[in-house]
Amino acid sequence: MPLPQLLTAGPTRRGFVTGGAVVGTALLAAPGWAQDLGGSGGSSELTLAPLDVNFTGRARQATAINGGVPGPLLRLRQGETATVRVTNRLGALTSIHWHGVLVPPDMDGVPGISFPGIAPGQAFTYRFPVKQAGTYWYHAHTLHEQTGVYGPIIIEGEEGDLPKADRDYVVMLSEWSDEDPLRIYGKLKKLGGYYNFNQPNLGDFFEDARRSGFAAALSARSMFYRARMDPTDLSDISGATFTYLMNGVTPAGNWTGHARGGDRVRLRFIGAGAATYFDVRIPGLKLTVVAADGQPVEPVTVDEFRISPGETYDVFVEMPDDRAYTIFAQAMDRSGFARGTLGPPGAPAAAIPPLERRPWLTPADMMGGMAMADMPGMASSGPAARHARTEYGPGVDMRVDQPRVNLDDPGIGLRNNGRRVLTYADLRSRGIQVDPRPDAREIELHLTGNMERYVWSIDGIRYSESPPVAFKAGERLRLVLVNDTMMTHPMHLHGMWMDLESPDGQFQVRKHTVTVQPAQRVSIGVNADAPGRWAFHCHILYHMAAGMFREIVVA
Amino acid sequence: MTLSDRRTSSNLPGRLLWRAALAALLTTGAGAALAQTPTMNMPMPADAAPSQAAAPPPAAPPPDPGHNMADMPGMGGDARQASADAPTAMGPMQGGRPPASARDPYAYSGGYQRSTMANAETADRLRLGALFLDQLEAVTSNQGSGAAWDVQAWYGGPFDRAWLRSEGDVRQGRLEAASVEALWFRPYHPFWGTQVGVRQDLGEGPDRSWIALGVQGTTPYWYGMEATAYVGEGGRTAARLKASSDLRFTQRWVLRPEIEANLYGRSDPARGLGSGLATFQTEMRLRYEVRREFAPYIGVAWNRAFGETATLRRAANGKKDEVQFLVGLKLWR
Repeated sequence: MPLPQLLTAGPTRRGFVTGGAVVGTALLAAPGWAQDLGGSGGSSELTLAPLDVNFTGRARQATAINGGVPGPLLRLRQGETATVRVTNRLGALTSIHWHGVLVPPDMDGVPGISFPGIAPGQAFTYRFPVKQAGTYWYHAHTLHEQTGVYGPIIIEGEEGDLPKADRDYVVMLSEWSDEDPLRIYGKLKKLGGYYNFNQPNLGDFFEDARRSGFAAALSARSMFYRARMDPTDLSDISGATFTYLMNGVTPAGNWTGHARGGDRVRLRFIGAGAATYFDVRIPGLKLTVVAADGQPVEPVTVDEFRISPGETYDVFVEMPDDRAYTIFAQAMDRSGFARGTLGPPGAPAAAIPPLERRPWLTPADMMGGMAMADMPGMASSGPAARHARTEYGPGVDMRVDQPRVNLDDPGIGLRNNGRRVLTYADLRSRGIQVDPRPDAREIELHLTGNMERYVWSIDGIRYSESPPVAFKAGERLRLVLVNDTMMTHPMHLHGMWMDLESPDGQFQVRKHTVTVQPAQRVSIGVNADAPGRWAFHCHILYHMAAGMFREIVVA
Repeated sequence: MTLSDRRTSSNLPGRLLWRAALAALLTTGAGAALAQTPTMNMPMPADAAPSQAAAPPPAAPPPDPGHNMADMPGMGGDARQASADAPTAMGPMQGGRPPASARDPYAYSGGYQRSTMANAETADRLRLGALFLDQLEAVTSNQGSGAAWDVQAWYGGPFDRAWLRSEGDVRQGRLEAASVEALWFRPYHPFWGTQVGVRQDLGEGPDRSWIALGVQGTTPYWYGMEATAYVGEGGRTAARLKASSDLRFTQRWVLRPEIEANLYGRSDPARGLGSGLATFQTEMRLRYEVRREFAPYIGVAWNRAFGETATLRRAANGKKDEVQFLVGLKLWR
């Protein structure tokens, strides 16, 4: 099929590689993403090296790819064999993982599982057959992911009968911190709420009491306080240290994609935050979601969608006129936003919507199905959770006995906000044949943690202490994930697809990263068709580092 | 462990507290009584009852009768009504012991071991060091001016940690009373751990050495607690209880009330201490968190002496109680 011309209509910043010595916060990092590595069977070179940047007014060093943050667009073609040589000119071991791309196990880029990593001064040549099409991304499977080692992948190929786009842009959402990621991690280990400047306080208690009465305000808090849980703990790391980026550009820098009235624009959103869920909308425009995690879905038109670290969503928008529109991506905890513009060259930028009121977790986020039992139309309790005996130790601060199973919840902060918000219940794969065999057996894994100690784990066991999970080669199995915590976790499986199932067990959508909301249970069909050792983990970098990570053995 | 016979009838509350502390700390197992575990006495549909809920966990702490979800938002009477025919108590949501029916998390491994390839992620067992200078303050009171400190430091992995803590005060340029403790912290519950080690008392009078055995953790509703029992030379015993809480006025203005009680099994006149409840401090500090790690504060403390300690203090300087005004800094890294 004829393919849209990629990225040629955008503002070309090719050759602008000074790395951002720009005044104040109006910084433009070297736009690696605007470089096009091409593809078409040729080989590509990625060089990871330090780069002086200034996103916040303070000079810092990023870990850049080919002189850019994000790295260059890697364009591949379905059916070809990709060859990418990655050279490490950083001071520490690094790696590149092809997120969502099914590659041989030794090409998957996870140090300690796929290969021993790429030592400083060394290079590694990745070579893999390209079996799929769509929007994906690549990133370091180390803390370098936070400091700039990530970039987009577009694989051209059979994507069904998508309409032709007049314009086609990658919109990569990420975040920058002036702090070293290891320092962030250490702070969270010492004070879990370090970056949360939205903690319950006397002021909001009185405001609540005035609105809904003293007793109601008290009882809204008592459940959480009794359990030593913070109802405002939506994101561990907030705008207090993060500057949110769109294609490597700060909100003040206002990344702009050009489009005129009447244009049909394809936006390839990539959730490249190391620790941030973004809620994305373009006020004034409808968003038609046509692909999730690179795989086609039945088009669904919404006002807003939430994108996790790791997910990708391909969205079509129609430009109604020659005005500029704001692409607004607020962090889930409402502590900041990434922002860009879609519009004709020279059009004045549209207004930036205000950050919304910061949501609090609800009883359903803590209690799951139990708290929803008396809500009309919410008979969504599924099977009882089967807790592992290792979930009773000091590393697990909460267990949910009766998780909720409904997928039609857009998640905390998006419920009943007056807009049509995408939920997993809206996503239906298009043109995908799933294995017709029933799921032969069920593997239940619980997402666990202790926020105060900043320990994260699966079944209460941190990665360094954990056994692998064994899949039998060739089997079709059901992976059941129960989130015992009060945080939202994007779970990413390497090497195989995750076929998300509806609460009644029907195949719904094929993904590589599945969000499990607090106190939620999800069922996922997996074809164990990729023998080897793989990673399975929470895609919040700091949760992965703290132990919410398992090795999967397919044999 | 024997209690001293030297008790005065005027110190009855002190003795009761002392006994309670010893009982809680030493006889009923380290602090189990302090680590109340919220138990959700949830009514739930019979067909959805988890198998482990049928038999309560053998060693689970007693359910907290006040903690019923029915008084929670969204947990109205209808749910209770609907399942009134088959009420089943759920297990505790926090802490506790696994029931016999708990799932075996190793069963999925199929006998495989994790990859032994080099450079696997190890950040989940990263060892860190932390230094908390909770109180570094100048003190003014009706008994002169001075300075005081209360600091902690630890080093270790996600769970077990070597722990140092010290508190004390300097009055008119002289070290009045101070203690330094070296402890090993080991958690036994998501919010609680034991601390075992040694304590050295310095300052006026002869130095004293103790073996320390205590618990440290967070109670429901977020009260930080330290409760430690001490055994010294010649059968001396002591206990120290501390509790505090952060009341957040705004995101940066924080009021921290704190209490500290010191109890002794036997009087120690050389150090100005009597048996039973010796001192009880009630403190209030209002800090402003310029950064999380840097918070200047002002505060007030009311130090009361009881029983023989009060008598000794009155003899020494005419007053048994003291009101202090504090200006200080809270720092950590």
